[in-house]
Amino acid sequence: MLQFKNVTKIYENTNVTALDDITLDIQKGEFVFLVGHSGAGKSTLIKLITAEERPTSGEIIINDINVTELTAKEIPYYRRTLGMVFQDFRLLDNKTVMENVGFAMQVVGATRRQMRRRVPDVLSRVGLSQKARFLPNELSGGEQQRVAIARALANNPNLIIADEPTGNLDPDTSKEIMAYLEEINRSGTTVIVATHDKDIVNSMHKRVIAVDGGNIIRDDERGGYSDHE
Amino acid sequence: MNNFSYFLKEGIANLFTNRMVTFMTVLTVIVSLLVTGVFQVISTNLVHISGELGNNFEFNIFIKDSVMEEDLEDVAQQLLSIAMVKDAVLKSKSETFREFKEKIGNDSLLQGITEEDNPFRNCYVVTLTSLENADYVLEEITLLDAVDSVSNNLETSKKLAAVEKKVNLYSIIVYVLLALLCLSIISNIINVSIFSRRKHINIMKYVGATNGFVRTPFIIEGVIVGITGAILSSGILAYGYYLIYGNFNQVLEGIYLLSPGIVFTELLITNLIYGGLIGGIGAAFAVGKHLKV
Repeated sequence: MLQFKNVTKIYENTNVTALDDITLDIQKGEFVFLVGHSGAGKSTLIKLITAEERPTSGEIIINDINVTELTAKEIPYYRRTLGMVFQDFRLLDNKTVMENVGFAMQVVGATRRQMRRRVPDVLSRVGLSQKARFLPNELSGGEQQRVAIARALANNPNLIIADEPTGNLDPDTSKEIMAYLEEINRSGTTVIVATHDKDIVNSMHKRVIAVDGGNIIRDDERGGYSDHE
Repeated sequence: MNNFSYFLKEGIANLFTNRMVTFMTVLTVIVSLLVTGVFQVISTNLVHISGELGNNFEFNIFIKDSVMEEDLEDVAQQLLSIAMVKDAVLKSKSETFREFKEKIGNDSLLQGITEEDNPFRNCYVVTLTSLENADYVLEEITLLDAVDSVSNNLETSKKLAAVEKKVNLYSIIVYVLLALLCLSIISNIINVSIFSRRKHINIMKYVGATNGFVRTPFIIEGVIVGITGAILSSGILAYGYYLIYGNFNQVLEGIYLLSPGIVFTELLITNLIYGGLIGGIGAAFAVGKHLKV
């Protein structure tokens, strides 16, 4: 479902090699942790998946789409097959929980009817049915991140990418968020989580891909967080 | 249709969320359009005046005394048969004498001189269809047997034709330059407003919005701002022009400024197009910078 074939990314401006000849294969329905400290290449890897950056060489194939060859016009349509979750939630402050989730559907041209049906459904999956009419600043950090997860789910993606989803949350809330992601994964959606959070990685026993200096230094089927990373 | 109502709602909502920016942008549009508007009013009037002067430019063709009264009609036909002669109106010597008498208002000087027997000559007032090639036309007229002499002020008329050409050229240059200037100012101001909404744009891009989807509400916002500025600036200019017109409307004898109604209609049309385009294109440019996600 996700394949990196000999992918290298060198940033032109700085001449930094962010990723060096990476080959990676993630199957449909997997739950994968992407670990490594800042500057290791995690963010670049995610930016390549979301087509925010293009690789210098190599090939990236996601959902049978050759992401490397996408034109600027095709990128929005490709992104609709992904769900993104960020460390800083990225919710629209002036829109309610319901509207934030609906907005993702509106952007891709969903009808009001489709939205009325889908939004309550995804909100109930993250336990926020009662807070549909709240504004983001009336919610706790964990709740805001759950809205972001609901939004990522709105267009029924088969891949969810979470970039440091627990970076701004306390340990208990972090666990709760990971439980929601795990639940989503159980229903068949592939989930990739980039994180620094050692406790979470160690407690969940999922596949761990460790990146350092632009290389994959470890890929364990049921791994933990090594202190070297 | 679903999207269109979203674009419109979003575009209008944006106007009110960033009231200060909206106000500044409308103000810039007004100031810019006031400048181009003043230029437009001057240039359309100049074109109008020089056109009028050109049209009304009259040449006095003096007829030899030897030509009999009954032959004058033939002379008129001869004059009219010359290419580019639009009209030839007879001003008889008695008519000229009467005018002269009225002007000086003192009969004693003219004692013994009658309408039939006076020192004035019969004259044809000739107007041309265009001032171009007036040289040749007048030369041809001079060659007619019946013509004694031609009084003209061809140099003035030529200068006027040149002024008209220059005014047309400069107006185009000024319009283009001001359009570019306005575009850059407005694009930068809108950019400020978009900058505060870049998070919004960023989120839209991540959930898979096309560039067109992100851009359209901003363009609608820009066009509304442009049109508002256009209407206001046209109103201000029209009022100013109306005041000037009320006090001073006759430029030269027989030549008037364009009426405020015509000027306002012209201004409004140009400004609406100009303002709408500048607002829309300015916004499109400004948002374009933020679309690369």
